[in-house]
Amino acid sequence: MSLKRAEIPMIITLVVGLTILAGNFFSINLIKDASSMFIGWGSSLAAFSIFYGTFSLFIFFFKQVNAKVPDRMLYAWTLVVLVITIIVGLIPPMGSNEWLNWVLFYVRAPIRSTLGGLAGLSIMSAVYRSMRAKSFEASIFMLGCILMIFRNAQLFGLEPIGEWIYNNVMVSGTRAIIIGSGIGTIALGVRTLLGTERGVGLKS
Amino acid sequence: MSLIVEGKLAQLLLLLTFSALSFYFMNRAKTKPPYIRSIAALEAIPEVVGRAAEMNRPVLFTPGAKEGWGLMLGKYAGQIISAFSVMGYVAEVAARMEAPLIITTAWPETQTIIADVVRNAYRRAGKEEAYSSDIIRYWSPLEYAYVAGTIGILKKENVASFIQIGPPSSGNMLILHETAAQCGCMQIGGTARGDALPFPALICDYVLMGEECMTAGAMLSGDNSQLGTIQGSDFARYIMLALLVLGFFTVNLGIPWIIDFLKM
Repeated sequence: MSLKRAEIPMIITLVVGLTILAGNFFSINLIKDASSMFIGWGSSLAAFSIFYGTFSLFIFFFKQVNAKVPDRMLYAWTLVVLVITIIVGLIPPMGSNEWLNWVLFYVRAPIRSTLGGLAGLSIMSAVYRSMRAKSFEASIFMLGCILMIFRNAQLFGLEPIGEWIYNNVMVSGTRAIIIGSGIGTIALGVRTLLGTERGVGLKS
Repeated sequence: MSLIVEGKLAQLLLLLTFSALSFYFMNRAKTKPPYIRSIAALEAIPEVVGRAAEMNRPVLFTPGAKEGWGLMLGKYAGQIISAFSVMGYVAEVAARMEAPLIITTAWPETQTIIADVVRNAYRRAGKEEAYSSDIIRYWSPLEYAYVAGTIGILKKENVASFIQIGPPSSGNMLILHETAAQCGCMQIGGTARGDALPFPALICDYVLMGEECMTAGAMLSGDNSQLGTIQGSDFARYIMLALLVLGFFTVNLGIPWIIDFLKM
């Protein structure tokens, strides 16, 4: 019996997937150990991929600098910062020395907070542009948003209405989406384990 | 010692039932194709990509940006796999229409998978020579580093169409879609995360909501057996609805059967 090349990944997917699934439900040591082993292999691959990702980042940014694109100085500066951070991270004790802590607390954290502030700006911009009562449904949507604003800002004594919307409409709607997504994930899992989900790297 | 882990018997029974339904309808669909309603967001992909082709500006696709690495091993793996299915379709349409394509990813372990999917998509479109590894841009598994890089692409490369489908962090999904809106992009957004769904619903032209993300791959394939699994998940939903209604009445009548069953 000969196996076609396309069937080998499908068989690996099926065996590994069913083993990990069984390890979650059955108290059989052999299955649990095999499940842990497969998950460990996956974690090792994911850890190695960080090196591969950093390497590909280097290559891409280096190409941009060599190609003399208009913003090449920014790409060059990013490469310099990347190299400095790697060197600083390798100074013993690796991952927790004072130089790395300085970079994380005084460079990364403020930049992260600044970018996080963009979220507030973005929501204001999105609401200003999108909240238009152009149709009946849009009007209902806008009314619900206004009531939620009153709830969060505790204005005009209208918090109970916003609370009711939050506790009854929003929570139940979110749960319905979660239940639907969960059922869809099971169907997707069946398709993936049987090798019929053709979107991921299989030749048609 | 029990064979089944304590507290997981009900989960196992429900999983086996739903899987059996998917399997049954998958086989039934080979002779009796199911009717599945169309999803506007998937129907709009050629329109969105075509706009970019006409304007000779790139299409940007991102399969979500949930912070972290090793996400393919966790609970977001399903969303990521379904995002790759849509990505393969978008890449094929972009190759046929000769629209420039950029794909950004926050997860290093997905780079090789994305490269394979996109290369195969270009091959299916007969445009293998147009494929380049520069299409795929890996930034960082850190949320805001990824956001900063992707915003840079949206602005600097004058993207015409933006598609984001997959597991995001709420903040970065909002920032990316709003930036794309300010750049005048036509957008498709989608996620199975309920708390992040309001942002693409508010900003995007087309939205994939919850389970629509999971079924996207099956619907784009057009394969009857894959569509059969969608029909199976509809029946699973009826079972869940019946459990909810029964549970509501039995709990209010003081009968703990449903709750005791679900705790088994």
